[in-house]
Amino acid sequence: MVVLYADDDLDDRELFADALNEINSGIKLILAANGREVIDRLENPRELPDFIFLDINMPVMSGKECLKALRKVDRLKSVPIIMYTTTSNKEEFKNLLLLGAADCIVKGISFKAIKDSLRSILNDEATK
Amino acid sequence: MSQFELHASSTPSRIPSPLEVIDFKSLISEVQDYAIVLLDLNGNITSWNKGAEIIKGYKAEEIIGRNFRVFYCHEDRADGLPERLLATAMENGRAIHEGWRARKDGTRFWGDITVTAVHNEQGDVIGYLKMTRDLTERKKAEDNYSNFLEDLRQKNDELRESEERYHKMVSEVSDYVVISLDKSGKVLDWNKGAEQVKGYKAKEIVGKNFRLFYTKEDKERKLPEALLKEASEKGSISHEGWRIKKDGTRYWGNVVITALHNEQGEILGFSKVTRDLTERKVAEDKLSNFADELLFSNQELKKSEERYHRMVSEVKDYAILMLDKHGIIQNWNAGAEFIKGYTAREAVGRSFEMFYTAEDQKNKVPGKLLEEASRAGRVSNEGWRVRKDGSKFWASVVITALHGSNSDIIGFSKVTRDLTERKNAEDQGKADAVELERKNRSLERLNSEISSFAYIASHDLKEPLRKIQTFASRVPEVVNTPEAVMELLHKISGSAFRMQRLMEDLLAYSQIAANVSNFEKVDLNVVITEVQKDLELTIADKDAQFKIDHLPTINGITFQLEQLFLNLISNALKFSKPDVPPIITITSSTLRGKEIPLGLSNDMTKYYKITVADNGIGFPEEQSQKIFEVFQKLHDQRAFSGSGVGLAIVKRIMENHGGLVTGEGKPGVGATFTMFFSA
Repeated sequence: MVVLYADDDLDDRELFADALNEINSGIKLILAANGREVIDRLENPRELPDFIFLDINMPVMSGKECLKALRKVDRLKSVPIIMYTTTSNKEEFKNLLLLGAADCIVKGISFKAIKDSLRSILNDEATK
Repeated sequence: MSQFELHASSTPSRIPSPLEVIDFKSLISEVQDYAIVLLDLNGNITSWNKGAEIIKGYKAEEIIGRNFRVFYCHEDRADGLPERLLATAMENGRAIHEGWRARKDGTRFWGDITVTAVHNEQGDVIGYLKMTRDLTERKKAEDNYSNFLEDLRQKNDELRESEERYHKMVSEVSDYVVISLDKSGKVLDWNKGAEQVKGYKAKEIVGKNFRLFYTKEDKERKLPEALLKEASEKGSISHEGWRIKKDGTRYWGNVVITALHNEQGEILGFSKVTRDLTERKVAEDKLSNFADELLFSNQELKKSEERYHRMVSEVKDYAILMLDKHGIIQNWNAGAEFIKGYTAREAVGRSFEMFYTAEDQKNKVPGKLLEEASRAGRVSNEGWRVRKDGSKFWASVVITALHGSNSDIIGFSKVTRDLTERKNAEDQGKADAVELERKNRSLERLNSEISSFAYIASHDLKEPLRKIQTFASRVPEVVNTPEAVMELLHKISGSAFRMQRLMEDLLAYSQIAANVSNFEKVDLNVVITEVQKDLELTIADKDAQFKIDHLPTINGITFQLEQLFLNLISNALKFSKPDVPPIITITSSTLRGKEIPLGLSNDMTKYYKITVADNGIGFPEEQSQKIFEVFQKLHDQRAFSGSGVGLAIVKRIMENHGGLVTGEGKPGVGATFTMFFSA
C-alpha cells in the first residue's frame, strides 16, 4: 500500500509518519510540502498511490487547488483523496466533497486520535 | 333733304282786267308776308314786290331780268326742279311746292310756293305768277314737334318696359316684401316676397291693416301709426325691428315706407318694402356678443398679461428672458439682473451666449441648446454659467421654443435658476457620499478582518495549541527515555512561542485598525534610519546593502510608518537567497493621481511613489494579491520564520494613510513593493 501525504508543517508530517508506521509498518509513505510537489510527483505515470492525504493551508499550492488539479487526471480517478486539516469547517468540507474529496478529517489532538482516524480511513477505504 | 309735293289745280284761273291788274299790282307790291314775283315764259323775273325783297334779300333792281332759278339750291337746280315747276304750271295752270330755298346772303328758308300760269285772252300762257311764303318757322316747329313725338313714343316704350319690369320684379321678388298700403295702412297688394317672408297668402291679407305684422309691444306703443305719420310728413321712413309672421314666429324686418302722393300732393297711400334681415341680425347679434366676449377676454388677457409682466419683472429667484430665434436677448427681469449681474440695458440686444463659459462657447453649447429646443420644444440643462463680474454660478436652465401662429419658431423663453448653493451642497453631498462609501468599505474590510480573526483564532492559533496537546499526549509513550521527553517538551515550548508571537502580531494588526489619528509631518528618511537601527543585527548578519533615494516628508503617523518599513525591510532580509547578500533599494518619485495604474485616483493630485525592492527569492506573480492577506503562507514555515501578518499590516497602514501598496515578484529574482502616498 502506498500513501501520499502533503503538509508544509514538519511536526505534522512526523506525527503522520509515526502514526502510519504504528498502524502498518508495511505501508509506503511519500511526503510532500505543498500541492505543487504532489502534482510534480504524480506526473510520473508509474506513481499511483492508494491514498492521497492533503493538508489544506499550504504555501505555493493549497490542498484545495491540488485536489481540483488531481481530480482532472483520469488515471487518478479511483484514488481516494482525503483532506486532512486542523480546523473543522462544515461549509468548506461540503465544497471539498463536491470537488471530489473522498473525505475530510480533522487532525487529532492526541497521537492516539491521529492513529485511530487514519486506521479507520485506511480500513474503510480498503474494504470498499 | 327737302321733300316736295306737286299739287296741280284742276281748273285754270280766270284772267282779270288790266285795270284790275294795275290796282292789284299796287296791292301786291305792298304785300310783305308773301313774295309775289312775275316770271316770263322763260322764268325770267319781270316784277318784284316788297315781300320778295324781305323774304329773299334781293332788291327789285338787282333781281328783275334774272331767272328765278337763282332762288333754288344747287341740288334742286341740278334736278331741274325750277323748269319742272313751270312746265307743271303751264300744263295744269298751277304748281305747288314746298322746299328749301336760297336767300341772297346764302342762308336758306323753307318756302311754300305756288306757281300760277298767266294766260292772255287767247288762252296762251304768257308768263307765271309765283307766290312764296317763308314757312321756316313753321317748318322748324313742325320738325321739333315731330322729334318730340318720336321722343315721346320712345319714352313711352321705355316706360312701359320699365313698368313691366317693375311689375315682374315686384311680383317675383321674394327677398323683399313689396306691398302697397292705403292711407289708413290697409294692405292693397301683396307679392311673393311678402308671402314668403310673412307667411300670408294675398287673399288672406289684402284688406287687413299692416299692424298685424308688428309685435304686441310695438302695437301697444303705436309704432305702425307713428311710422305712417312720419312717412307722411317726411316722404319716407326706414325702420328696423322685430316683426311677426303668420305662424307667430319673429323675424328682423328692415322696412322702408314711402308715401305716395297724387298730383295735388295729397297722400294716396304708402309703398312698403320690407326685407327679412333675421339672419343678418342674428349674425350681427352673434358678432356683437362675440365682440363683447372678445373685448372681455381681451381685457382679461390684458390683466393677465399685466399680471404676468409684473410677475416676470419682479421675480427675483428666476432669470426669465425672451430670446429671438437667433438667441438675441429681448427682455430682462429683476431675477436676471440679480442672478447674472447685467442690467437690462447691458443685456437686451446681446446674444445669450455671453452667459456661457469660454469652453461651452467653444463647444457651441448655446447653439446646440437652441437646436434641441427647436427640435423637441424645450430643453433643460444644468451647468456652470458666467456672471457679469466673471464669477461662475451653477445654472438650471429651461429653454422653451415659442411658436408663431403658423407654427414657425419665433423665439425662445429661457428660465434660469441659480442653483449654485444646491450644486455645492450636492457636490459636498457627493464628497460626503464618497467619504461615506470609503468609510463603509473600511467597515466592511474591518468586518471581514474580524471574520479573519475568528478564523485565525480557530485555525492559526489552534494549530500551535493542538501541537502542544499532541506532543504532550506522546510523553507517556516515551516517559522512560528522558531524551525523547526533552524533545517533546522542546517542541511544546516552540509551539507556545509561535503562538505568543502570533498573538502579539495580531494585536499589532488590530491596533492599526483601531487607531486612525494623530497625523503629522513625517520625514521618511528619519523613519528608514530608525528601522535600520532596529534591524541592525540582522543587516550585519546578512551583510545587507541599502541604496536609498532622498525621501519626502509626508503627512502620516510616525509609529505606523515605522512599522510599515520595518515589515518591508525585514521581509527583504528574511526572503533573501541563501549566500547572496541582500541589496535593498528604496526609490522616491512624484506623479499625478491619474497616472497611478490601479486607479487610486483619477485627478491631478500629486502623489509620492516609494518603492522598496530586493534581490531575494521573490514570489510567483499570481500571488501578488494574496500576499497582503492575513496568514497567507507563501513559503514553508520552517524555512522562513513569520506569522503571515506582516504584509497585511503594511496594507492596512497604507489604507490608513489614504494610499496604496502593490507587490511584484519574480521567483529567484526578487520582490518590489510600491507605495503611493498623497503628497
